[in-house]
Amino acid sequence: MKKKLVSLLAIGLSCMMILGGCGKKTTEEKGNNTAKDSEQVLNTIYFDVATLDTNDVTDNQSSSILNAVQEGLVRIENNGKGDEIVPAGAEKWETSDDGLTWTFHLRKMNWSDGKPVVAQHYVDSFQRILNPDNGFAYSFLAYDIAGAEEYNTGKGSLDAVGIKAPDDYTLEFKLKHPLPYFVSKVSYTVFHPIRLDVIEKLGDKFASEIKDTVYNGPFKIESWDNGNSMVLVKNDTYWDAENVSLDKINMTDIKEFATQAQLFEAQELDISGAQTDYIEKWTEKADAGEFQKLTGEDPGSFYLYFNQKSESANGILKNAKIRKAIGLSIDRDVYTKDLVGRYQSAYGIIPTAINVGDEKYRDKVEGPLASDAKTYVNNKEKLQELFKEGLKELGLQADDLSKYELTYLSQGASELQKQRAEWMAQQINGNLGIKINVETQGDWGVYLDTMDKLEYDFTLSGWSADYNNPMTFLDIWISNGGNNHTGYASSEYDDLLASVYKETDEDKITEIYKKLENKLVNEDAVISPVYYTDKYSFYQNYVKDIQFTSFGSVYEFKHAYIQGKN
Amino acid sequence: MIRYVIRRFIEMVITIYLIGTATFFLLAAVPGTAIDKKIQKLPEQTKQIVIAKYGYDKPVMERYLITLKNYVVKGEFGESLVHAGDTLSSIVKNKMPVSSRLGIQQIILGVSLGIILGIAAAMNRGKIIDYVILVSVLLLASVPSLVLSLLLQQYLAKGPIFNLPIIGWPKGADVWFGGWKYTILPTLAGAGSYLAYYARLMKTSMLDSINQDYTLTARSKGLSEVDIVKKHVLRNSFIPIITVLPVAISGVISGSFFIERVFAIPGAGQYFIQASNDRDIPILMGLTLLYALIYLVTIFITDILYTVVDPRIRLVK
Amino acid sequence: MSKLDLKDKRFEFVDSSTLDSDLVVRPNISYWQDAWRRLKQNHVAMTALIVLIVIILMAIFSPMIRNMDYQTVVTENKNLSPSGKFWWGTDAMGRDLFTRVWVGTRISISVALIATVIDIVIGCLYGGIAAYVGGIVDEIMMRIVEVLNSIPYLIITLLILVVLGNGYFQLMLALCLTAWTSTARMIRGQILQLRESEYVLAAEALGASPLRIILKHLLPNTIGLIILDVASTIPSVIVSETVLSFLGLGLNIPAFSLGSLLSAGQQAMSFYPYQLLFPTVVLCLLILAFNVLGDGLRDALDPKLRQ
Repeated sequence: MKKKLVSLLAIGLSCMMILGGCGKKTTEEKGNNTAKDSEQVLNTIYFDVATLDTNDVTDNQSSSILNAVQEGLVRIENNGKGDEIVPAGAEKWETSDDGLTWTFHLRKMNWSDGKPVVAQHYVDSFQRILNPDNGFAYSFLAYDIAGAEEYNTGKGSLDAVGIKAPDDYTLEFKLKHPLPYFVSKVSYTVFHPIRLDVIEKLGDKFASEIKDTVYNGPFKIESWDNGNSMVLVKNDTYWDAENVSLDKINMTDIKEFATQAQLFEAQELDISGAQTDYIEKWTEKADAGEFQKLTGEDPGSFYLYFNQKSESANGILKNAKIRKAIGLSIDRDVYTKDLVGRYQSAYGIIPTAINVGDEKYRDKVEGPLASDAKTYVNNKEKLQELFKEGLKELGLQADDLSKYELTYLSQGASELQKQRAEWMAQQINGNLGIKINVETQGDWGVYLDTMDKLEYDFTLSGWSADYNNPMTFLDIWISNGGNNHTGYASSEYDDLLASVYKETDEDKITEIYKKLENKLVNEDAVISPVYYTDKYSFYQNYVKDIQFTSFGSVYEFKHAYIQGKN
Repeated sequence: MIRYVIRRFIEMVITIYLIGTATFFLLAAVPGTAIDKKIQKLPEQTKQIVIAKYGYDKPVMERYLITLKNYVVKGEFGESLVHAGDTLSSIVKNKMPVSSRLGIQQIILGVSLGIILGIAAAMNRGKIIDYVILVSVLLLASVPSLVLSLLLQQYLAKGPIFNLPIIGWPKGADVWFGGWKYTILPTLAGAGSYLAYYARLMKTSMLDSINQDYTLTARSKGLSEVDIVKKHVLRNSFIPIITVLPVAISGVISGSFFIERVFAIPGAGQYFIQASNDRDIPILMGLTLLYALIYLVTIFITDILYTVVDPRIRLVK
Repeated sequence: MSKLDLKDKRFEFVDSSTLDSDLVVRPNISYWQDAWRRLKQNHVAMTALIVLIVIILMAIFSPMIRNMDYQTVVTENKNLSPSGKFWWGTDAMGRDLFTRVWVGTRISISVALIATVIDIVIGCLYGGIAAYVGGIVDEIMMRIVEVLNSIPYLIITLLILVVLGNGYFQLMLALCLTAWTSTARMIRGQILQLRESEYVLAAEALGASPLRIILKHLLPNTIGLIILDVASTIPSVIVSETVLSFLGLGLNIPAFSLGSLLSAGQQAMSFYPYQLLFPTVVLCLLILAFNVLGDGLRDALDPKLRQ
């Protein structure tokens, strides 16, 4: 691959330069000058950072920036072959035989004010995020630690939480059940080390202060015009500073995509995503060598939520066969290929980017709807037959399907989103003959509220993974789950889910995941999968070693450098 | 006069209070809160804690009284719920100068050109040039500002003639008087509507004055057309313009949404819309009150100006 | 008595035709006929009127004549350039753009007309009552208007639409929300002036009821202003509706207006400029025509410019 070749070349070159010695002229490299540019400045779009308080982060924009200026136990990198967990704050770690104790050995490194980063700073971070008075959103990620859930819900004490710092450079966790992917969970930004003294000094300003705060990551924030622009500069006190090439990263907010496209093509923007027709145009240009493209899997999944308690159309959504029929009456391939121009048709809820152990889950288990899709999609007779079976189970008339009317709730005010909603309605109406009204809700807050209150019939929404394991998609659907939004409550599902923690054998665990997914998507048709998200990034030829991770930062800047810009 | 000023002042205070209250309850009636997206993934108990932290668990009246107390007694206008660290004063310091400069440049360009064209149209009434001015000016005003901005950006910025930046706005020390190249396209995009309005206003106003008795008198006295225009007509024609301009200037502070969006200008217009979408109530309340205050003060100044300029008008009967 | 003998040559017979010699030689026509005549002379305004009529006719009839399905998504036909089959090409969902533009125009115009009518009616009533009753009632009513004007328009609109959702009725509400205030103020100003005039005084002295005075004397004298207001409100309502549609706060699917088409076209501007071009041209012509016509009407109705 092009990228790999460049990095090999760079390594080879640096070896040559080191061996070349001081002052003596070595053999000139044939062809282009492959030394790094003197100006190492990167121009990207703005990341909308909500807060600089690491424990309070809930979105990947804030976490991407915080990953650049702070560092935790590990760093997630991606050299084009999938996410890798790379030792960072911790040099190495090991687990006890029963899988309940994890010990991390920390690297010696300093904060930007000179003080060393020690294990207590990590303990402080975990304790602060679990503190029930703080109400931090992502505290639940730490619930695998013994005593954590109890402390966070006010039922237990701080002392019972299983985190300890036996010495300045050792960090010890006691879990309540074995968790092979524990490191993946604690890699998330909210668990980065913190300095309680700095937080106390800054008080309320901690979440927005850039000058008087401390950094331990590859970069520092030099300036920030909230909502509009941010400038990062290299942090010279970073332990690995010699391997950080970029001196400056300029981030500007551009709301109109047409403007962003123009800037990218004029080389005033170095990295950009793409939408609609730009995907095709830029893919062609990238293939022709004008710039680079990065495509890949993304751990996000979009599916139709059905409100199982909806009373619309005589409450037909209460029946699993009806929900399944509605879900199968759309042609996912047309949606992804023709309508949107990207994404991957989905027949299950767990995206292809998710692993179980070292293997991809989707390689081991086929999507539960995949085989049914082959027979049902675009097949009016079979779809209506299934639908009518559902009607009979409910004791409702099945002669005139056009008498049934449902409302599709569409999120998003843009024309694009409206067009897709229109298509959705027409597909269902065309195949099943039932009437579909479309209601658009441009406002995200109201949309969430409507879903929360179960005041909709069905809608398309999605979920992105918090960590690399199928559980992040499966545990949403427990009865009374805060993100369930469907009214689905099945004690069998709950029990099956809980049984995962009792197993340690990976194959057995995978079997349980398979059963859970099948129950969710096929048997109970709680949701109907539509697509898995993907990555589509374009970047200039002179930007090297920029990384795009699935579970870490959106852009990982640590190793990036500029070469050959002018 | 003093009595009038005091009375107006009291009325303004009452109006501001009414506006603030109306806005607060209007915002409270809208479903969804600023923290919804944040708490989306939370387990139930934690959700409650976060909701309590931001005070959303309290009933509306209680929140209203707390807000009222903060404003009046403590002078605290709150902090943004979405962008940590943004307060009303930081917005006034950072974003308003940007929007103001853009607006003022647009007004200067639009109004002065508009007045010139208006005079030309009025003086050549009925002739071809009158129609040409009319149509072209209205044409400019008919194109939606969004489309105009995009067209200017796509085709004029990096053409064979110019080399203007595609986006951006002067920062730091340059905010008021430097970085002219960034301001050219956005100013052009927005000047159009002012141009159209003031050209027509000037023309109508001049025609009005030309047909007044004093012009007839002046003519019969033997004054030349040019002198008439300079000494009598123009002065009187400016009255309507003077009464309308202050409000336009005050509107400048709130910025222009589309132009700011397309040119990535960090102004108050975009910020306000974004705050609406985010339900950033402290910011919305603060900005709404600020704009209302500026608007009311401007109307007040306009009324005073009116009496100064036209002695026939008395505010108090 | 004998008749006066007028055969005396010292008297010349003068017929009544010379008595009229110092009158201006033109037929006596009413205010309205004069206005229409002046308007007809204004070539630009007449052109605008004709353009307007053409647009309205096209909007009403061309979709019917063409008879093409403009709703169903046909992804195979997406983004086609203008051709013999699709006169103005297709949009991103494969639907005939020509038909969609005219159907959208229908909606834009009808929305604008209805909103304007509501706007004018409310404005007239409000302003008329405030001006006629006067005193404290007038003060309070004007304060309310000030409060409404002070809260930024977009904020009120956004919030109201968020609470009520999308749809025809909600859009109407949002458009009428603050537009009536300028009409009210203008009407109030005019009526305040007229109220002091002699003929109203006379009517009051004769014992006419307030309602009769308002309806028979005050309003007709403001009709000129009202017509003007209509001609300038319609284009501004069209623009507002376009902005709202653009922000996604417009009509519910599957309905759409010129604003929605503009928004869709703007997305594809760099690739399929015709998708933006056609709706924009129609929209601009529409707004321009109303504005020019309004200008012409103002000139025609201004009594000071009578010739």
